[in-house]
Amino acid sequence: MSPLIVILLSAAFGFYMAWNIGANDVANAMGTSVGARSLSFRQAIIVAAIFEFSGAMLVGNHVSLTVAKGIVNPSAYSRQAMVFAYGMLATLLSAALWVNMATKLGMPVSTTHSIVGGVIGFGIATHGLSSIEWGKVVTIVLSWIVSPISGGIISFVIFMFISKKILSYDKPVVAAKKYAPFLAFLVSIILVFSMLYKGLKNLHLNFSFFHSLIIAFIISTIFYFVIYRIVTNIPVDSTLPYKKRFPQVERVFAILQVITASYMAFSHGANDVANAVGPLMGAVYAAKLTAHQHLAMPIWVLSVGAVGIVTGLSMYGYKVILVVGRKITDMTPSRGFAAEFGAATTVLVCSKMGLPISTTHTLVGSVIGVGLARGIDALNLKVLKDIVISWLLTLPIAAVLSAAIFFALEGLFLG
Amino acid sequence: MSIFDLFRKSPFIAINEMMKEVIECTNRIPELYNAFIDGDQDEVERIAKEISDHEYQTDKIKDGIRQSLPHSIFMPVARGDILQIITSMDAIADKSEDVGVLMTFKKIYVPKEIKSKIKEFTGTVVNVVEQSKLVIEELEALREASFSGPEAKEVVSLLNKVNEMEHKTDIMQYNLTKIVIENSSEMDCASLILWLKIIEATGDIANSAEKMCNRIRLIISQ
Repeated sequence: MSPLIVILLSAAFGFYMAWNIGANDVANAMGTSVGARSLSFRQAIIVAAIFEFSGAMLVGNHVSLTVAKGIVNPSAYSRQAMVFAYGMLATLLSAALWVNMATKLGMPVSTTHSIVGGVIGFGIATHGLSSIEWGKVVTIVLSWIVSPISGGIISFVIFMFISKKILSYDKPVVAAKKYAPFLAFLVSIILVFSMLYKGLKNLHLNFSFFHSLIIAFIISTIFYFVIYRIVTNIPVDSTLPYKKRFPQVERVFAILQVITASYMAFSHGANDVANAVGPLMGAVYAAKLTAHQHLAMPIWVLSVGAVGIVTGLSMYGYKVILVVGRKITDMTPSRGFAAEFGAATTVLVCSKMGLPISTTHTLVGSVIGVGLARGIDALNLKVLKDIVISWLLTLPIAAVLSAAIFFALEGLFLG
Repeated sequence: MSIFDLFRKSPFIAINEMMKEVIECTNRIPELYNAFIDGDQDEVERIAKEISDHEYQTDKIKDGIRQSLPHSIFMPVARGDILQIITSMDAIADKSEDVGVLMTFKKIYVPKEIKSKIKEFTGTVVNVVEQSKLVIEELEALREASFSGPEAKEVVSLLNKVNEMEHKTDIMQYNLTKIVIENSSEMDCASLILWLKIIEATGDIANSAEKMCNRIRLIISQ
């Protein structure tokens, strides 16, 4: 096969993976907001589409580059770049195959783990154990352990704050209105900063760390006053008995949760687009290596993933969001806000660090964090066992599958 | 995988359901006593049967709650507390059933002084359970307020009332027992034993309600 065909095939499968992420995974990121009734179903789709797309385009390249050249170094393949391209194609195929198979079997596997396993698999198959950047792999695997814990800790702290300062306060609605703009400011400054800092390269806007921080601060301050105005308009009925005031508190949080839902979608797009685009980038690299071109990444590569996610979301994902949203009824906006804040922050930081992690697992950690802060009635911790089993299984299986597919491709086209 | 595997049904909803059945049992205690004092054994049997049916329902709900609480379920309330609450609730229903069944055994002599005092006694026992039901109904709001603040204070004041009223039922129970003993020469041995058991079982209804409430106090002080 010519390099062009390999790239086209990788692009097609990358798009397919992105479609799958949009169809199935976005629901996990948006489900808590829809379940808490903070967003209507239609609003959730619009928010998800806009922010998944911008997250993928603005921050998506960090994690994608890790998948493309961080785990197995393409320069080791400079004499046989096509081997690397086939390897990346094999990774995509194996991940697609395994995720579909596992879903049919009812196993909760992560696309991220499948892709990372796939890259490791073809790396070992071609150049042996020494071809793998083990330091990077260890960092990634550690991040899979740390990310749910980090999400849990952040959500725990945020919910404890909400619980102490708002829910158990004598005038909970007044307190909620007082703290809401602060919380919105907090989300906004992290979100805007991560968009600006190293985010707008493609628009040739390269802000320094401090410039990004200052602009983010200004935008978030404006945002602070916008939210301030909005929550001021929510009436405080102090004649109501204490218990009847919680719905009003939750109304304030419903507004905040629109913001964290956007944050969640943005972070999810930023991290998970790599599962589709990372291997495609690898293939593009390989093709450029053969053509002795400069290793810059064209913007269409990220667009394949971003467009794929939005297409999957609009064609099928909306159905899944509806189902997930209906089943999560225990999440009120205050709980959803805390959970999404912890998860999205963790995922975004990991994205900026180029670490491919599972958004769903992080969110599970965050929800448990809220539970530990006595926020949720009943959580089924058996899910934790499923998570651990899922990755213990996925890494070797995806690795073996990808190696096998690689040898098949090699035998067919390179032999 | 999808995030909703994580969520389980709240046990508080089922506990509320169970309490509704429990109150159906205890609310029949005054009319049961009335029929018994009037010597209307048919009516006693009818009411005892009704109580028994509701007791069976509480048992079914109790088993459902127990089955939905394996060790892997994480709750804002200790699993042991929930289990103790439903055990005490079950005891309330059980004791009501006991009172009914005991009364069907035999038509017995009713001392005159008892007639006037029994109404107050059963009324207070029923009130203790009614008051505990209010506490149970607050559980959901209590969780929403994260077990602290004004909501917790309100529940604690409800709990104090339960304790106060239960103490009153204790005193009434002793007085009634005393009356029965004083009139023991008027009745046969079986009647005496039956009277003592009936009064004791009625008092235990309030005791169980108090025990349940004390467990809720523990949840708040956690």
